Amino acid sequence: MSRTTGFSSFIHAMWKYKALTLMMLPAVLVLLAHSYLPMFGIFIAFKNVNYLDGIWGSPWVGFDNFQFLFSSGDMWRIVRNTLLYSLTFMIMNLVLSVSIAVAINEIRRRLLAKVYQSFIILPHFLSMVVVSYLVYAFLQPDHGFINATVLKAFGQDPVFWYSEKEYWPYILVFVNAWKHAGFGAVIYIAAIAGIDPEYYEAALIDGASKWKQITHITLPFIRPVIIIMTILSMGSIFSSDFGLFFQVPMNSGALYPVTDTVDTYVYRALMQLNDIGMSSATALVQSVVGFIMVIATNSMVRRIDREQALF
Amino acid sequence: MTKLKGRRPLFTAILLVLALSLQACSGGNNGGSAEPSASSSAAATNSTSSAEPAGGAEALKPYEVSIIYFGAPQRDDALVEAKLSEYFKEKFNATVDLQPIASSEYKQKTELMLNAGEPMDLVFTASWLNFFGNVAKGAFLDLDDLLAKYGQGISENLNPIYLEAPRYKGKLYGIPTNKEITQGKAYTYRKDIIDKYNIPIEDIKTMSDFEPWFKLLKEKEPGLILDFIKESGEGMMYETRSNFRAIGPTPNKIPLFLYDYTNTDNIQIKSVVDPEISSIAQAEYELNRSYYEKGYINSDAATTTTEIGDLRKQGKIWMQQAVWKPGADIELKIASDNKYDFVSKVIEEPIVTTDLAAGSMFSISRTSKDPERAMMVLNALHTDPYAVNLFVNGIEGTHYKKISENRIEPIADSGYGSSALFWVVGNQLINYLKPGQPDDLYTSWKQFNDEAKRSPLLGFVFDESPVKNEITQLTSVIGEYRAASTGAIPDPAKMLAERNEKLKKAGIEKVKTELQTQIDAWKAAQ
Repeated sequence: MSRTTGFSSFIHAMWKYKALTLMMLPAVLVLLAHSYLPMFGIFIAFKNVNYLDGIWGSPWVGFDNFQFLFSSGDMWRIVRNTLLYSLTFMIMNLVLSVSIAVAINEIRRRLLAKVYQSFIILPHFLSMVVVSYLVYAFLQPDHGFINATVLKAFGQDPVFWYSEKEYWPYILVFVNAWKHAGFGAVIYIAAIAGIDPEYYEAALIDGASKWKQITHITLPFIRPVIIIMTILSMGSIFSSDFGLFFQVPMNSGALYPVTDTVDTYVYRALMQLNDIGMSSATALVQSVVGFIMVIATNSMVRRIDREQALF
Repeated sequence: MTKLKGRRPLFTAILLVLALSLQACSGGNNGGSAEPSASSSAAATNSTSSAEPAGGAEALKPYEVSIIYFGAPQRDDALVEAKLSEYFKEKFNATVDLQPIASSEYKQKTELMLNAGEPMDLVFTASWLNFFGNVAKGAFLDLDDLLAKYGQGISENLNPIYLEAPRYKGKLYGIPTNKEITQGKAYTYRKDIIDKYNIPIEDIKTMSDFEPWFKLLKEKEPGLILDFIKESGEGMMYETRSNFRAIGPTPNKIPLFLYDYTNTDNIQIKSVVDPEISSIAQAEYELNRSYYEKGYINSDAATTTTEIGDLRKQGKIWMQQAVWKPGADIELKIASDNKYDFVSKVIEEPIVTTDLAAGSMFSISRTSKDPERAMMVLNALHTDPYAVNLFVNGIEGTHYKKISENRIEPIADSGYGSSALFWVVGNQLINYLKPGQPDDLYTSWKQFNDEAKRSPLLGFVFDESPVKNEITQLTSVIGEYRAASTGAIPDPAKMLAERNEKLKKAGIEKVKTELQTQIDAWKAAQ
């Protein structure tokens, strides 16, 4: 009984806010078409697909397609890279995005704030291939900016960036932050804009410093947004930005120990074979791990503060 | 008041929805082959309706044969398609639907089409486009009967060795394009440099022999890249230093298994972790390292994606390790905008292997609705000079001028003929000659084909499916260490040892045993 009223009130709400419903519609359709529809294909992960029998008729092979992923000698390295980079990116981007948002919010000249904001967001729209060549312009061994200008000016020996792996964890984290932090900040800027200015006025009257205002008003108010964003990004913890790990290091073999992630490994291993069963198996593993991570993070948040949990 | 409030957001919402859906539409159009193929098939149906039934082919129902081939789309594809359709319509009531796909996306796109079971007739394929893998998955039709019935012209023209290669479990699945059946390997030089410094190219047989000349040219010709190396492949080290040749999987163009091609009776497979093989690799890797340290090799060897052809046009290349066939030096000259003359010293005698003989073919998709007609079209492209030259060079007067019986002059920027289709389609030996090609080119190719030595493993195909997991792992190990051969990585010997250790862990011995077993079984069945 209560369920039907729940449902009918849901429909009622949808109708009541039909403008919002309509605005949501394209996104929902895209989500359905791109994320829910393909889920029917999960069974491909358990099949050895051939053209003759087609997708439906090909023989079932149980968990055979998963074997290559787990029997790989590099399994540990791939999982470590994927998880550590994802975590680092998450923390870095969170700290940077929130700092940028707070900083931009403090700029009194609105025009300047918009200009800064635009410049910081811009890299988000560049393709990773373009980014990889920007990085290449800095790191190219002969005439790259760093070797030919910076290191030369200090009288240092040139570094062969694309064959020396120790620098790459930093380079990748830097590139990722440069590319994504600005875009992440947009959401926090919006959240900050929603805070009632009266709180700041009251704080000002009480003589609170800027820093006090940030830590006691701004951050507590955007905490729910931070938590939601973190839970959501947990879902992709076992996936990696293919462009970042494949294009930016120029697919250089010597760097694999620090650049090989699940996505690049699968791409390199299966490029030759064209086996859609094995590729589907990997995607399934990634999704399952992501799902578990979202649920786990959410329940952790719920345990600490019930109000803040996503669901 | 409330009404107004309600309406405005609704209006904005509708606008937003419209804008988004528009964006989605335009996005969808950009990303596919939909456009060229749609327009070309539209042109095809037009031509069908205009060219009403002609005599000679009443018995056959009209059918449109789709041809998917390796080549960049050209402006006048639709014109050529209409002309070809008109011609085939008269002969056997068939029209054609030309579907060129650019080289960079050919493999991916066709495999997607195969996976989706799209209806297609003739599909260009090759050993290097995973032909045997696709055959094993049942992508193509068995062609023996079709060839006997509708492709007699093909079997008459084609050197019989050709039809030994594209076989899987004894059955024929591809019809090779008639051209040079194999390629030798050579050091190819720019003639002006050789003449200027009197370099005795006859005496240079391995990379070690280059040392004094690199040294000299480094001083005298500072603009040259003396030894241009790209990270994929290992050059010709096995060809110049041994009788070992590659067989089986070659991830990143690096062979994993080799056999001695002079030993025809008792074929023993060796893997790259075998001491005899890895000592060859180590010598070559260390030599490259020393060349790299002396500055003879391009400093970005580990990562460069530059094409050697572009550097050659800029005059920066004086020597390259290249494939060779009669006329190769002239082909290179034409490819370099006629700027330089080239001269080659052949290092490896050409031997016919399965991969080379199956290097350019057409297969008939299992989704074809009329395989007989597809074979008829293919037969015409192998036997009929008008048809194949129309396909490759375009329309006379519009795309080329005819100079003599079998020689043409292409018209620049004519909208057709700039894609290199001669090695893709049908029979190159009945293509018109282009400026610079000698009159006897095709006779010398025929002779080359007749004299080519057979590999003892010609016709053997490795079925990778029993060791699929091992091969994916070997592939990723090879990928990681592939730059070790370029010289750009310090201590190549240590890298090589490390790589071999990893290859052993990844199961190279198991794959080797499987390969040897399959070869023995194949040999016994012969």
